[in-house]
Amino acid sequence: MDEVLRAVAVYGLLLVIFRLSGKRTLAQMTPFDLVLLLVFSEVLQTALVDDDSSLTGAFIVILTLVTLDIGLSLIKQRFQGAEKVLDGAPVIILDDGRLLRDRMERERIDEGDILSAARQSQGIESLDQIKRAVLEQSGVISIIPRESGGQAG
Amino acid sequence: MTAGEGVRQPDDVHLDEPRDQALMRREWTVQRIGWVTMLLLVIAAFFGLLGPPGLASTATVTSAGGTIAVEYPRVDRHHSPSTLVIEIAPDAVENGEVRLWISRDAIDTLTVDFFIPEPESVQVEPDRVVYTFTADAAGQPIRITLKYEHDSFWRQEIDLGLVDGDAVSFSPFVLP
Repeated sequence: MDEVLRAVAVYGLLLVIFRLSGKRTLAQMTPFDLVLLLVFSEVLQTALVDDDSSLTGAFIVILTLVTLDIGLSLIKQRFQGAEKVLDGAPVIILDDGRLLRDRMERERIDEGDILSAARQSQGIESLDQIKRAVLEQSGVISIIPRESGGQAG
Repeated sequence: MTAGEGVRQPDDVHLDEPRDQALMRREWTVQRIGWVTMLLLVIAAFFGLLGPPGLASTATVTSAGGTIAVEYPRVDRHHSPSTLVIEIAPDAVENGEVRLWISRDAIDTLTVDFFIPEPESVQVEPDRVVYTFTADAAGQPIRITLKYEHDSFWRQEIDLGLVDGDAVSFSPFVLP
């Protein structure tokens, strides 16, 4: 029982922390973020299994986390409201060539991030060539160029 | 992870169809069976069926004479902290002490971490280990807690009892 409750608590806590930290937190992973993630995993390992070194204990923790993940994905699929609460919604940050600075500021995005996504996904050099930029739920910036349709960054 | 979409594929998808469609359906079916199995295992773990703690995790065995009762985990885990609670009736106390033995075969498959209360003395005999505890409160049942870990897998036979008194035998199943 302990492992199941611990796994549920850790899953819920991580869900809230990453939801509060914003969409760009994991999408913009710097070497320091990677080190932070490794530290998280080290700290959580003790919290999840305590001094139980059995294979069954580890198996239960993994099963609980995966089952929770599947369960939440099913809930999100059936209830759009739940998806918005758990994953957020895509945010338009550049519309018809116009930067929506208020939204960009709130999502901690600057012009450079949009241009970087535009260069990487579409080979676009300037903001004039972008029809629309969208910050997706995953934290990735999708770019729709002016001339032809396209996406993903 | 997301649930599957409709079974039909658009006509303009030219993978290895229709062979892959059958494979895809089988994969989805297996996945859903897997999800239900995982959920059942998590529920079983929650109730202690894969090891303590949990509502269904422990069983109690009482000796024929009723002087010793042991609460033990039905299913235990290899190298995972576990607990035996031994209750001894007051009439088993002799000269202010209780002498409890555990079979040597059982002790050899366990790592005994500690007893609460600590035994006054430990005596190793050829086929058993005898622990002597002081019984302070006269007329009260004596409760001894043993913290231990299993060193072996599968079904384990544990015999314990009172010297010149009742004994019990039980078999926890130890998961890896």
